[in-house]
Amino acid sequence: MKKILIVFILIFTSCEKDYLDVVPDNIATIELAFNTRSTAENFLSTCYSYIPEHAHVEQNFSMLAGDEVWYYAENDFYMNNETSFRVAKGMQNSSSPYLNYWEGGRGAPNSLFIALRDCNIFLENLVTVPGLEEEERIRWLDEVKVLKAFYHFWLMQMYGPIPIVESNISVSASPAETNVYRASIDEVVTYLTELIDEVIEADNLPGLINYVYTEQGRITMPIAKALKAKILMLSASPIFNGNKDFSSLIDNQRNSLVNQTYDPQKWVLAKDALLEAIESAEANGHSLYQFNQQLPIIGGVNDQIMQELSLRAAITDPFNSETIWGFSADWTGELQQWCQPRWSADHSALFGYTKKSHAPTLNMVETFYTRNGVPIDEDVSWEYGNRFDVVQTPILDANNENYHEFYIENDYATAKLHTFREPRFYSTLGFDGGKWFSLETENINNIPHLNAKAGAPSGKQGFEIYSITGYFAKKLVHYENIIALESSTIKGYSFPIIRLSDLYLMYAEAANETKAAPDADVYEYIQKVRDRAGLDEGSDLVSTWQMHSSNPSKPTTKDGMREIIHQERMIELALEGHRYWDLRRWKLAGEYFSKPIRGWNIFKPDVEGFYEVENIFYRNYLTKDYLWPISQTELLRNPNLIQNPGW
Amino acid sequence: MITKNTILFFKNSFLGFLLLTLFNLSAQQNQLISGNISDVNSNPIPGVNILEQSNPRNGTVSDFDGNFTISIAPNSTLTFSYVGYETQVVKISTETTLKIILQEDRSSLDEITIVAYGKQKKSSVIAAVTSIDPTELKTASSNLTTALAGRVAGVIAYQRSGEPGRDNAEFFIRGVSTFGYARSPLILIDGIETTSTDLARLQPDDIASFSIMKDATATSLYGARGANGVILVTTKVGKEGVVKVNVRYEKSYSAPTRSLEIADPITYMTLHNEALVTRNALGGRIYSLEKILISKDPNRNKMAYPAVDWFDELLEDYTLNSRFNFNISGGGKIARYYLATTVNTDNGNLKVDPRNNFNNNISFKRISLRSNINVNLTPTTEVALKFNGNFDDYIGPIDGGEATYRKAMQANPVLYPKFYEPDAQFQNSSHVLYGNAGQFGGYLNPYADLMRGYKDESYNNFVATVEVKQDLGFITEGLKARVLANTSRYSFYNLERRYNPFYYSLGNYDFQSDQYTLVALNPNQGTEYLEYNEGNKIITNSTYFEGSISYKKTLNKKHELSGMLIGILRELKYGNAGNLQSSLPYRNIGLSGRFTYGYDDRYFSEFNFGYNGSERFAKSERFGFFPSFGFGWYASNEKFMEPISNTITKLKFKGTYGVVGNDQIGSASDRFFYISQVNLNNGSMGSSFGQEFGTYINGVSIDRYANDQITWEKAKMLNVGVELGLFGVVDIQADYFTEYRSNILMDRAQIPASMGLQAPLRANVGEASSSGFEFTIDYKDSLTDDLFVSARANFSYATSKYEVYEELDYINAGLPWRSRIGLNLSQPFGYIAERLFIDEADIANSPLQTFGDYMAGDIKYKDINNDGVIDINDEVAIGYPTTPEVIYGFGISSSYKKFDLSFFFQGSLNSSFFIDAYNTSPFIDTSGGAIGNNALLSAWANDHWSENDRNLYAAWPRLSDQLIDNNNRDSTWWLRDGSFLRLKSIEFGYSVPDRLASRVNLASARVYITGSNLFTFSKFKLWDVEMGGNGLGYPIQQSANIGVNLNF
Repeated sequence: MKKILIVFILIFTSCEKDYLDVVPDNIATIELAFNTRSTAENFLSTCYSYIPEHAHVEQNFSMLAGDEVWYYAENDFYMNNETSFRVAKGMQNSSSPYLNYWEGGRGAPNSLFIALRDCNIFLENLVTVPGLEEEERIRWLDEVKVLKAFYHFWLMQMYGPIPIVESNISVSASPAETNVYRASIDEVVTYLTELIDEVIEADNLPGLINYVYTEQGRITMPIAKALKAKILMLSASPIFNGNKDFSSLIDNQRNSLVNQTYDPQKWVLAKDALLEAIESAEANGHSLYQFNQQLPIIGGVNDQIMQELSLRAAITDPFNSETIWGFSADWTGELQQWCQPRWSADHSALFGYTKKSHAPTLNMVETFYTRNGVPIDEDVSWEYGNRFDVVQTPILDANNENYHEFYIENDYATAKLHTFREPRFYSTLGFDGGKWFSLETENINNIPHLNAKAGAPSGKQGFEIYSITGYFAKKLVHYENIIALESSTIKGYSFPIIRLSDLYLMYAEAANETKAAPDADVYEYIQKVRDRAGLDEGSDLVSTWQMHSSNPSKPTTKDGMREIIHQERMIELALEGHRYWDLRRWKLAGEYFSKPIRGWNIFKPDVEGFYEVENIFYRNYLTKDYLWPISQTELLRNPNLIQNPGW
Repeated sequence: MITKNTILFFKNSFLGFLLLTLFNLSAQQNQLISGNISDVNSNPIPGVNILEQSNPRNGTVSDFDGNFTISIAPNSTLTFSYVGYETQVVKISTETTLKIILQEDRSSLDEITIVAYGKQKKSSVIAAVTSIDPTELKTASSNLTTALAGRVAGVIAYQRSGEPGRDNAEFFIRGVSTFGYARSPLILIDGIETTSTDLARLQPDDIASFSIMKDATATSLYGARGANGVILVTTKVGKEGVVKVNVRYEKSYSAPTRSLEIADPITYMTLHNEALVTRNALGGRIYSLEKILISKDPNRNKMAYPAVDWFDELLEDYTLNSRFNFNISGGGKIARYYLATTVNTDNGNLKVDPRNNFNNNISFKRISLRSNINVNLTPTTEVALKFNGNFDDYIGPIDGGEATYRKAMQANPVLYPKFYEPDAQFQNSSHVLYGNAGQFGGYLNPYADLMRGYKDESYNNFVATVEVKQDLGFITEGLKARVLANTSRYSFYNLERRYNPFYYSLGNYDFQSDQYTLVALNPNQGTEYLEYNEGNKIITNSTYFEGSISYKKTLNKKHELSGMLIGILRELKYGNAGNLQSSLPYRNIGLSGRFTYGYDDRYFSEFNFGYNGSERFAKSERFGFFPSFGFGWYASNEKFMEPISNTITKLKFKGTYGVVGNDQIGSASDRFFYISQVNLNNGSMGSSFGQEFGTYINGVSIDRYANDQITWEKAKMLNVGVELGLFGVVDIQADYFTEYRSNILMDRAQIPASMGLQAPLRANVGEASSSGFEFTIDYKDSLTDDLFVSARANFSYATSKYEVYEELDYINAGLPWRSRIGLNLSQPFGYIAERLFIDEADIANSPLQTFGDYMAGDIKYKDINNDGVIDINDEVAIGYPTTPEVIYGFGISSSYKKFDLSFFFQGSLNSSFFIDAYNTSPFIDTSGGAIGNNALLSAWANDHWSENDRNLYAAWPRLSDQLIDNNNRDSTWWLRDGSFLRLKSIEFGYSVPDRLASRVNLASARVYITGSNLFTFSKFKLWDVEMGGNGLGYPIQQSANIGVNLNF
């Protein structure tokens, strides 16, 4: 019997060794990612994948969270605007923050710290890979360094002082070791500029993309330099340059996270970096976009439409000369459907393509200059007080010419506000009576126009899907789109993250801040932007103000010039999300975002009823809204973090 | 139809079989023997098996008066056997009448209890094992798991849904004692591990024994798989004797125990308008006064002014189900068999549109076949072959029955009818003109969703087992060996056939002419033909091998020794695992043993162990050793107890202690914690590049970080119990237990997001304890010769506690009330709702609530930490746990002459649940995929805060057409008491007198009616309280059954 027992036990103990070893040796682990070129390239692709979708109104909340556009509803079945719209409505909170890029969630696809960890894994492990040439390897490393700086920058824009993730903390670290501190703004900026400087000095990045069909969208040297300039610009701006509102941001090591003394030298650093970025961009072929194609239109494309297309295609022509950094097309198709108004039966039938709800506000509409290139409330020849009056087209100018022939439908009642505005007004906005050129246009003399009154094709027709203001975001819609029953095309484009006019205007801003009074250095680049926009024809902005403005000496003072540059940025970069960040950067968000959101009375079908200004939403923008709240949970996990003021 | 045919088929073939037997008999030269069988008290014994020993196919059964006649060959030997009596063997020479007196079998009275890998004499069992008579599990439901609550001491069970095929009760042995992944017991049917679904499908008719293993000595043989308790079921095997046929057929009427009450459409519109205006004075109405007024008119045009009760349009009031079970058993000396088949049909109560030529109602057919065959190869070798196939076919709506109920709740009742009668333009339309609204037809039409197609599901499980038992008595007395090999093959698929409904909305309606026109909303998207959608497929197979040797010896008639060793190997493989790691086999290996020593039937001791390993842990953590031991004292067998042995017929004390493990610490896809899991070619983690965005490069993702320390949960269990028998009619059992569970796998809670991890870090750091007691009392007595009464009551209490739980550092943060440590594992958390806000001044004077906008009439919460802000830090533990702490049941069975009556009550105490404030919020859209407006519960319509009736304690706060986040919080406002007591079952039966039965060749026949869930006592009235927070789902059913049970 003993023998049986022993045999029995022996059988089982001998089985046991191999029986439970079911895992083959070559199971994928993270280290294996760096054994072949192809998997290493996948990892590089992942490092890029965390860039927020810039055409997505939640991920890139700056489009909607300010006052540029408004929607008729949030959390509707059709759309994905809930979180950013709630931020716009002042519903941000700290128990479960919207657009939580710190932890991921509530509209933020990922924690950007995941992105940073991946960047570091890549930087630490990409040593030698068979099949990966050294030249390519060091280029990849530098691309990822720039991405690492960009993710830090995104977090810094939102949260201000953030922990610097220079290298990864081990997964097996004790909880105490994981409790990092937020670094001060100055520390973050120093770290990020050093990181980018490493890349600039190493000079491994291409100046421009050679293999445009496979690599367009990858990091180039002008991108690296432009990003560095943007970071320095942010650190020089009022929000982080001696901002007393953040004096309470002192952590448990008595570290003051936002400097409390204004340092004008920061503007000099920003200006130098901007000049370097602009020179690098121009040296590599970047220039302000000019449309110069002929289109198959009866009557051909005239100068005025050519001008409009230069301004529109600067956004929608993928990776055009002006695009320094463009984001892939994943969401631009979706965004355009939200922007696209209707003017034909086919449009109404294909309602999925024409959701017309991404509505610029009246606040935005009033920002654009008059035809003369000065603000509407300064133009001595433009009756600002009567701007909401209804006028019947055609309206002729002093030379008896119909300036609006290709902008506004003839014999149409529209607001005076829509007349005699600068070209960018007509290239950026669609409005009641406004013409909308696209490849659907067959004859230049018969450009379709919009009717935005209740019940009309572009007006409010049902419970859902309408423009709450009566305006439409023409700038974000590609002129090549065709929406027709037999065949529809919506052309995706690269949403600009950084474009040249952005750099030009930042340069003017930084230069103005470094001087006692504006000079040619300040005027140089802003003038380029105005010239492309068809302003100051044959002249310059100083003379324009002298001729047309009720405040003729405005461009000659530092403060006046600052205002001009601010407004120029808000016009030139309208609807691209810059206004949201700029107003925070300038500490003007409290003033702008606390104004009521306005639009026309879109519930009315008749001219008189429609052209009543309606206040759509009142919001009180508070000091605490300048910085994102860190979630309370994260603060409990890491006692070394301190909450942003007011949350 | 199938059922009827099957009956006919078996009837025919069985008759054929009988005829054949008769023919064989009459061919011999036989003598006729008759006689009477009784016990020592001259009471006749019916049903005694009488067999001719040399020809086991010849046999009969004694009738109700103990009489029998049999025709046998001359000089044969007859055996008389009956359960509980000693078998008698009588050699027949010349006599033709016999008087047989059967002696009670002392040893068989000593009941046998099924224990891990074997059987034990009940008196010697010291482990906490509850065995239940399988007939107790017969209910008017075809789901066995619904019968467990209140019937079996030590089982905490509750049912949340009544949808056919989805109505398994959740059950836990001694409550939930871990917060890890797997909390459910190990279920073994005939020694083979199986799922709770297979347990649910099991027929009480086929069950021979049903035992619940609760403490360490009972489960430690299962080592790392036994910590959550074990359910052991064995199925019937054939017995030597004449052929026995048992047929049972039941027809059952089934309807919801309670239906939701919805406000009428007029109230709906009025209050929806109020909801808009009360939140925004300028908001305007959604329904015009004209629409409301006309909708009141019963003669209005119902296409233009729809008022739909979606529940009525989608659901029938009741449904009819049927259950059929047929089994046949018998055998001779060499071979014995038990063959059974079951055909159950459960239907849903969903409507079917006559214009569709398919059935979209739930139809759930379950066919189960079982064949247990035992063959004696040699006098010492027995082979058992068991085959069991379960075949489920489910047809149901695309989204399932539960979704149908939910959608009925989510759709707007007054915007569109379920379908439009065609107008002039669509007069000749060949499809149904389903109603919808909006420009996209994006509104929820639950009728269209229900009618648009059906889902076909099939589930097959085939289990084959062969077992060889060898008596090794020729080596030494008492030595036995056994090997068992098993394979189970499981397959599942589902698929859908659906069309895309055409939606229409009302274009315009001319009141004068009563004419309307329709607008086609999706003329290009709709389809008139069915499209096919392939669904899931799951294929698994498992193999299992078990070998054991056992030894048993009694020395000097006083020392009882036994020992047993078992080795097992188990492997489970997935055919469509989805990724490499999941495709690798799941394996277990183990060696277990049991050693018992008993002295003089008074003292018992036992030592058990399990030593086993599983493939999912690192080498160093793979194997675990799980010992347990126990002692018992049978006090009533002591000399000094003899004087009172008529009063105290049994008194036994027992205590056990041991360690058991649980290796189900992550989901099935959580394999190999010791290696990381990465996807080096992840299509959703890449980026696209290129001028025309044409180059997409996949990315890399990390799904798990490696940790080679991870291992199983460990449970240390203590059990003390007492068994007491009084006057021979009352049997009491009481057990007290404690358990301490450690090594519970949990996510590290304090890792900040700034670490940038893609997957949670996990470690075996959690600990929990549980304790409780169980109590069973049985009473059985024949009061008179005709009246037999038995009563049974049981009570289970189990509670649990977080001991070590990694959470945020609430103590140092000054928020001790947010900590779970020390609280029940299913303790709900929420805010303390004080009342509704009175007015704006009240709001201004109260702490700021941070969950979005709120007004007068919204819920005011208590500021726990007095910081002037109501936020997540003001959440506290509220109410009882969501898992009930007490489950109890009691019932009486009685029979008088040929009638029998039994009833059973079941109850539950100490549990709480939240009313689903989100899904019951009237008017808001909760439908997800489409646009909807929630229905208005009558309870809210009748009792809500309004500007005219500012009731600060109204059931529903201020109305709104948007979700008010402030009110939609887990809080005491929505917390309800989950306790209830219900008449779980009642049964009335009549057995046909045997004389009558035997005339039609029946051994016995019984007809019965059964009712289940007929009424419930609970404070909660909105829905069946047992459903808890799931009240908007498919309701729990009550049923009435009529059945017949025939024995041949």
